[in-house]
Amino acid sequence: MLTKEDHERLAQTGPGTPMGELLRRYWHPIAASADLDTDPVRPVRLLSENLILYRDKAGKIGLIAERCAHRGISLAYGIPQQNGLRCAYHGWTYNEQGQVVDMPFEPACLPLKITAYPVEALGGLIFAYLGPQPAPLLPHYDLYVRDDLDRNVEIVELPCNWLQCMDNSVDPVHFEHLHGHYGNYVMKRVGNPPMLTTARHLKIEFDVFEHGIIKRRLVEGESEDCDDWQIGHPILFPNILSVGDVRRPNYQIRVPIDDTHTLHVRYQGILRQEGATPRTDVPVKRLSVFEENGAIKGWADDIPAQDMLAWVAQGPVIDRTAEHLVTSDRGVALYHKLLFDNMETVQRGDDPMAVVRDHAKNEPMIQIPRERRGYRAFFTVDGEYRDPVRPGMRG
Amino acid sequence: MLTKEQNETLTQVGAGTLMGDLLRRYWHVVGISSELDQDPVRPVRILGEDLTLYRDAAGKLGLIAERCAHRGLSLAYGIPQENGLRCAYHGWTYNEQGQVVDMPFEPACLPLKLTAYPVQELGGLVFAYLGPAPAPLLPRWDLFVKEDEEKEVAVEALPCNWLQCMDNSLDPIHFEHLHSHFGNYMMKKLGRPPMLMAPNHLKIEFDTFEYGIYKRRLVEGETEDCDDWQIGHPILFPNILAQGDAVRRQFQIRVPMDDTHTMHYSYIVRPTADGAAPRPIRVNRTSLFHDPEAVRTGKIVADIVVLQDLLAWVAQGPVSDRTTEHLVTSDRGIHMYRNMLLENVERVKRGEDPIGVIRDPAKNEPMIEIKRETKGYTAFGLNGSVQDLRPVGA
Repeated sequence: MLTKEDHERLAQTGPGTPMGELLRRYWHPIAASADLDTDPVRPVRLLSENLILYRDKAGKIGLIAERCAHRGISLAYGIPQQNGLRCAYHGWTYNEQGQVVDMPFEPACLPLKITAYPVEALGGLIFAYLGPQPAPLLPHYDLYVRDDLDRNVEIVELPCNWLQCMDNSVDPVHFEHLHGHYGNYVMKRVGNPPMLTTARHLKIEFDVFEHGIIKRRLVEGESEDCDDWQIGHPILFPNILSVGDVRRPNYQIRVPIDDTHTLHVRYQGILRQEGATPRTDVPVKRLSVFEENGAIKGWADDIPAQDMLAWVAQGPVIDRTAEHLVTSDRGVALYHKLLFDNMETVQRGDDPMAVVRDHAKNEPMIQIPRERRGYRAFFTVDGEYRDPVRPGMRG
Repeated sequence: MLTKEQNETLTQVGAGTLMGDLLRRYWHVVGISSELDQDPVRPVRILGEDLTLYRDAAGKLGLIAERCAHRGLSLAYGIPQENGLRCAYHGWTYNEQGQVVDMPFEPACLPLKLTAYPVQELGGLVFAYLGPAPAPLLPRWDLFVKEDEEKEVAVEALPCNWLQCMDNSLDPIHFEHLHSHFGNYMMKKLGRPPMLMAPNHLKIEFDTFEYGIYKRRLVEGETEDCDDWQIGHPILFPNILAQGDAVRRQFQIRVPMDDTHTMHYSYIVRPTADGAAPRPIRVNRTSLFHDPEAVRTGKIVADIVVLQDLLAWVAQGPVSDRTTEHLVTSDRGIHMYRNMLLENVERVKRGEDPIGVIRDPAKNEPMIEIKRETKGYTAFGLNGSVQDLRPVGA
């Protein structure tokens, strides 16, 4: 249970708020590169700021303020040019610095400038940095860079605060209930056999490391040398869950749109079979899973949908002045403490954890520890091991 | 660029605000007569007020407050009676003065009264007056009065302040960019041929007249005796754009619902085919900004001129932040129009009638003819014809 002030410090994302300033020290994915092939100009809302992402005709990517300086029309309707993005209304044209470079109906071009932020493409995603200069390096986390993986991206917009996804990721025991008991209940309701064994948790543990927190669990039916206990799942601070086994590793990136909305980017790696031809593209699928009122469409009949249900069903912003954290929530408490500590770090003018400025650390990539095969005890139903690789999220 | 106070003065429409008081000196469209035949009771939001428009069983029109005086149920669910509108909940009945005339479950009818406003019908539309009595005359603009022509009205609720539509109408230059350059870009994206030529504007001009402002333009490829330069488009103060040519003429009427919403009526008139009797007015209600694709992408597909204008209005946001805009030389029509609004705000404060308010029946009868171009925009036409200037739903 938090005070109202601490609750607000955790939930706010706008400029000038303590958490908003902390989040502005990191690069955030705002779209897939493939999105710009479909439509080269897209409205983007990130950290409570309305922006326009575009690729101009020369191939340069820009991220500038939402509205034209002339009479405030949305640049989402802009026309890509060789020299930038041209407003639909009267043709004022902006380069990727936000500088006006053309005012076709005026005798001269006034020296106006709108907000612009740096962007970088990596691994099929486009990342933006909204914080103070100099910008840190865009972290080369392994899945973005490895050459033995094929990749795809699934993007869902969630009607809830980003932190609700993260709280869920530092809470191992929910797996036993939400995915085991509730998941099997849903299976029964839809007339399918149970999906999981609800193996009891024997112990859980959390370790802080250079890039975040590693959570570990030991459940009945596994021994202490299992990967779930020896390696576990890393949470990359501040907003990425790294999950999946060596064959299908993925990142779940929870990008704060504003205080009550989250862009959930699931970045999937697929270990390529030996001798197979590498995929050159990174396809993107945009899914619509929730109604704006927070109701999930249909039954939550697979694990990702059940997790999304849990995040969104806490409401637009969970009221942390009314929650009751208990012993099994100590990962949540640890994670919140890391957030508060790092908000202080930023207010002192220092870099918070996991900000990367050293090229030697970033090149060629940052290796993330990953279990070879996790959750075995859960996926053994009736003595048979059931492959946890889901057939694909609802679309 | 305006101060915050100036922008609020221009955009606030509620009762007691400066612009709200000015707008309350005019009659505004609140409904369509034929729609009351289908459903005789309709909720209306206008100038920040929630009201109920109804036609009772005796055929009398009323415009009264939204909620029953008893326990606040919306009267939009009311039942038309011979003597007024009967609340769905406990049967309290109101006449067009807002007076309660029946309380069926009470020993006597208390003398309660709801807000009520005068309404009049003209040209298939229902108009209301929300200002102080005595009400001025309902202006008999020509298109409303002529009875021997085909009429059509297209209605769209816009998620933006009404003034954004008006700013756009005082800005001739946008035609060259938004409708030609951007319009042709849209066509290209959709795999269709270009829709318009984009000749350069040579000059633009604005003249005030008794009922508002004429805007005129001269573009390359036209001579000074063309209608675009000699006549131009009238803006009927405060909220109507008149345009079209000799054959197909329209009013675009921008009725403020509240500070961030506008009910947009395109009232279109054209001759009947071969002198046939005109058909009943056609009504076309659309909901472009709630279309799932528009919600998903944050953009509407604007492939005709009218949709491109809608795009420009709504894409300035719920209320355009005029403290950060940059008005430049080509925006001087907007300056003139905003000054006209502010001057008339002052007139109302002094207790005078603002411009365009009509109290002399001799001026109003049989109708007020508005001079308009017989052939406009010819230089924008491809292959000698101006295509795709059709409004919503046409």
